[in-house]
Amino acid sequence: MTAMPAPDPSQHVPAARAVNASKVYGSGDSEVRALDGIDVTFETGKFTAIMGPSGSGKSTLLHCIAGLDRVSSGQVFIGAREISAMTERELTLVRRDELGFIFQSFNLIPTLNAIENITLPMSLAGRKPDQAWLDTVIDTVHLRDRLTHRPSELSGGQQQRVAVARALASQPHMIFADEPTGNLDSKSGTQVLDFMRKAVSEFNQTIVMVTHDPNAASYADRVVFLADGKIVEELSEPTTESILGRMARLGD
Amino acid sequence: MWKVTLRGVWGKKLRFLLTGLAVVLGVAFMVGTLVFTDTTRATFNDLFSDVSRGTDAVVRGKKAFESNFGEQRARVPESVLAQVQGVDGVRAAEGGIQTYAQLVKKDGKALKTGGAPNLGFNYPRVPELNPFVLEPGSRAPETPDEIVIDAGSARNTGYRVGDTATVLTLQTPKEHRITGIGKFGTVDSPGGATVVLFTEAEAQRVAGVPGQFDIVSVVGANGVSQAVLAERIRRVVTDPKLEVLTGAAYTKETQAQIAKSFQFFNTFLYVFAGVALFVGIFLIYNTFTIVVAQRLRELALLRAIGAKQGQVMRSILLESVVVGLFASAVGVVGGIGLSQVLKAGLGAVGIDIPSSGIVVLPATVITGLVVGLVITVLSSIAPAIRAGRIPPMAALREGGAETQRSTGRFGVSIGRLVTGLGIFALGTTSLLFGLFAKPDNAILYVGVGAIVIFVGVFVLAPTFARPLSRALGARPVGVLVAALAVLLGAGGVGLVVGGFINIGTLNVMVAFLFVAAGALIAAAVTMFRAGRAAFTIAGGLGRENAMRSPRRTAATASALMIGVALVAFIAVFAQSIKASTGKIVDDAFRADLVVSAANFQAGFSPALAEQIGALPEVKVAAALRIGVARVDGNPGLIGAGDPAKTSEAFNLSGTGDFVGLSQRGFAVADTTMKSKGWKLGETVPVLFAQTGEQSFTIEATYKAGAIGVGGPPVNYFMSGSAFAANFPPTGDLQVAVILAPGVTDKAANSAIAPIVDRYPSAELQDQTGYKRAQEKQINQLVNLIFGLLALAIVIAILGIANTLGLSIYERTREIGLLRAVGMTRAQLRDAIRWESVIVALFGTVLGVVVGVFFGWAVVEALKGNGISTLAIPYTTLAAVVGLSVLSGIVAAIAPARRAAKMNVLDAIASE
Repeated sequence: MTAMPAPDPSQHVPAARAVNASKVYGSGDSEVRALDGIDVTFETGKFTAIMGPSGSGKSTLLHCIAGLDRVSSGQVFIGAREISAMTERELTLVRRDELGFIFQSFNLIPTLNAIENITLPMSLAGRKPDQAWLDTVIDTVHLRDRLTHRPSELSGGQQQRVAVARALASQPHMIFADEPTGNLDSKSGTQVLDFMRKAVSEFNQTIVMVTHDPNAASYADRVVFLADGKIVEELSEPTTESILGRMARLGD
Repeated sequence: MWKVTLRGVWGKKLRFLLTGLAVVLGVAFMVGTLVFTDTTRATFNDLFSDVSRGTDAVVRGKKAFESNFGEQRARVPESVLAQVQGVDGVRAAEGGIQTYAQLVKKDGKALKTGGAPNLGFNYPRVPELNPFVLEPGSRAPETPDEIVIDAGSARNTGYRVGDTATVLTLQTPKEHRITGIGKFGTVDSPGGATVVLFTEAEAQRVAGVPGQFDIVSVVGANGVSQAVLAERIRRVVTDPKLEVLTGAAYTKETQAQIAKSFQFFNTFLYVFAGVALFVGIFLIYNTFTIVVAQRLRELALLRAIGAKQGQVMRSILLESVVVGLFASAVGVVGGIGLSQVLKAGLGAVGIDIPSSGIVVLPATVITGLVVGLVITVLSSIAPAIRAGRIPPMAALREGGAETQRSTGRFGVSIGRLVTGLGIFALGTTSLLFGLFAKPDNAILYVGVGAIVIFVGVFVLAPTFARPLSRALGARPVGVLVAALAVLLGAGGVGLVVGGFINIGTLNVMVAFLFVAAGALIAAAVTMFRAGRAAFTIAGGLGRENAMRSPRRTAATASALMIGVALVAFIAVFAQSIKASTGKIVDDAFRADLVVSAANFQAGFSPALAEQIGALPEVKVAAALRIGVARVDGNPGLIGAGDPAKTSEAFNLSGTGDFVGLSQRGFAVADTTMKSKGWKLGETVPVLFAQTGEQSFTIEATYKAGAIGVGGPPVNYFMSGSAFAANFPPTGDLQVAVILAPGVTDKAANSAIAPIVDRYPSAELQDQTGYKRAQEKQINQLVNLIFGLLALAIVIAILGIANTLGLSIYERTREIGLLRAVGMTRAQLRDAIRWESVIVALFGTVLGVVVGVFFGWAVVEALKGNGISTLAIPYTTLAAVVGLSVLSGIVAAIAPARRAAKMNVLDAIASE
């Protein structure tokens, strides 16, 4: 079930999609529409960046598609399965078995060492990791000599690399990253982004990343711009310059 | 600053309520005891000053000596009464006799009380001296066959005026006609005692003291003051063994005695209040420490914007003052309620306390508030000082509250290790000194030693919290926990089956069974999950969490340690007593059957032993009676009986000529010989209340405990005739029976039982039954103590729940992350439960170790005083450990639920 999902052109099921997804907080006068009828599709084997000003709903969109939050109306699919109709437990199992996560900070469990953190989702599922794949991942992120270190003994960049390794290790259907380089210096940030790019290019992973850093977004295959809960722009094969240009136009 | 503090307290009401709960319970227990004491004292004082209003003076024997078994006084010869009556200013005088008299109920069983005595008096003919108020239709007893009984006994037996009732006395049981029922002043009976009032001559006969009184009470003529009256009587009564008191002095003394009789009970309760408060100290300290750590940034910010060290420290202290005052106030109110519960509880066991208003002295309220406040503030001083030391820079630093100060290479600070070991050694020294050197105030040394040991373990515990938590969270423990769960579940299923079998018969019971079964099965399932978790990542996380903050885990566990240690100590002590008694019975008891008195105060007539001895089925019937005398300055119990029969019924294994004990000789227990350094043939002074000081020669020795098996230690023995020469007539407490050769137990039973049945205060048992009866007495007391200690354990479990709750609040982000990457709610609950079980087991293991150590020390110290062997009650201790697993599960209920409900986004969305 966790074999690398290859794109199947005949059926063409995208990795994930949202159909007319809305997220509303509060009601009446104090109603806030964080997502306002969004339709978006994420293709398998692609690296997508979501950008937008603060409060544009970019994080909410990520959370809703990743099964961390629920849409108020509309549908969300991971592969062919509608997660917006799932129970809390089913959602948890989808996150555990089919998705990988990289957050901005506090990505690791402080009581577990690096390798335990990397294999955590599989441990939770009671599964043995695929050792060959695990070795590949660990070597890719250069963590071989840090495996028994606890997070407090790792630098910020190392911690984020552990998070990347964790996201890759279970060979998930797709990976969600929320400002993965937000807390890193530029050198560490570049490293982490390189690994993510590599995962997509070499291992055919699917990644959705929220960021407000144009340089980070330039690693993606496609950039989706959000404003006021709506998708306002899309950009394929972006460069830092083209992104900056769009952002300037959008008044960010 | 004040405003900030108060807002802080108000913002975390629940947490402070939990913190304060320990104080609330401790203060409530203390105040409840105080109010109860004051109320009973006031009530009895009123009662006794009321009923003794007419008494202007008394004549009685001087106190010969005082022992644990009461004051010993000589009696007053009848001739004194005539002398007193002749004194100028005496309007009336009358002799009084107090003896043992017990009514036999309509069903043939003796009327029992919940510990209050069964008293017999002579009916006072002088109205001023009569505390009893006869009910309508009653009259005083006129002939030796007539009696008046108290209204309480009448109510409990259903006897009415005109009925005939058997009365057990020191003489052969006899039937009496009830001519009256009387109240003691305004109450049914004096303090729950039963009363039988005889004519004067009959009272003297049943007490076995013809021509003697215990006291002579005097009513003065008008215009003669009590002091003058007493002085005039003193001039006439010249016997140096007698004394004359004014009525006021006598009343005062009686009131003091009543207060004293409740003292043991009160001390008992105060000890438990103290334990509850002591446990509370640990919890308050722990909560404040955690809260300070959690508010690190907030407090550092206060420092950064200009608050001084002292201000930060004082704000924490102020918080503790608010919590302490509030909790103490609640405790005081609760205590007043508790005093009524205590009263009702005593009423339920037959100690009727006359109803009157509740006496709440201002001193009680102040004591409760001050004690609660002081304990809360003292416990928070260390956390407050730590809060003051937080540098302003901490506001800017990232870091969880749970991270520890850097310690040594093994996560252990050497300073802590040394300090802890030092405190522990100090406590141990004090404890052992108190136990073995036996100084004057040994109890103080032992008590303080125990407290200091607890503190020492508390200080030491963080140094081994990591390895111990790791061991306790390991897989084998998980297997044991799961096995325990299966056992529990089987019990639950058993209850269900039991419920179905009984359905339709006792529906209330069946409903209760099903509810209990449901709870048990739910607990079993949860516990099984927790045990299974030891094999999964959930359990691993729980274990890591228990290990991550050794100080917190240790402090939380230490609170539980105290209650468990006391339980383990009592269990070891009681088991050792039982084992020792059993051993003595096995070693010393040659008798096939034994007749024993239902309680120590109520013996039975010596006629019983004679009747049994006369049976052809019986070879020997050795009776034992007991008196109190002062031997070489120390009060002790003196047993008496037929030496030949006694040495046949008991394996005395002593030296000297026991069978040939003379009128001036006695036998001494070997341990007493040793501790006194006496030699066979030595002469020692013995002071008797009735006959004064006499010299007795040690003519024989016997193994301690061999005589008076199971009761308090009887360290001296004299022949029946020597006893009779120096003691007033006394009932037998025990008859040991050896059957004639060839007589079966069954045949013997059917011959002896009908005789014993005629003496309802006597009980016939075989050796096993006798042993079991002894054990039952101990078990009852032990269960009572366990019940009270449960309070301390409940407080400690609340402490675990509180700490877990706070820790989980701290780990919000971590929990969110775990949930985000796929931890299910069930797995999260498993992790928290397993952590809770580890902490509970931690405290229990410490407690069992410390408790067994206490037990060992006390048993070793008491060897030779009725205890001979150390016995460890493995089953009880295993049950304690099992219960601690259960309590860990229970403590985790609320925190686990709260953690599972946590919003995933709260954790990961916060930047």
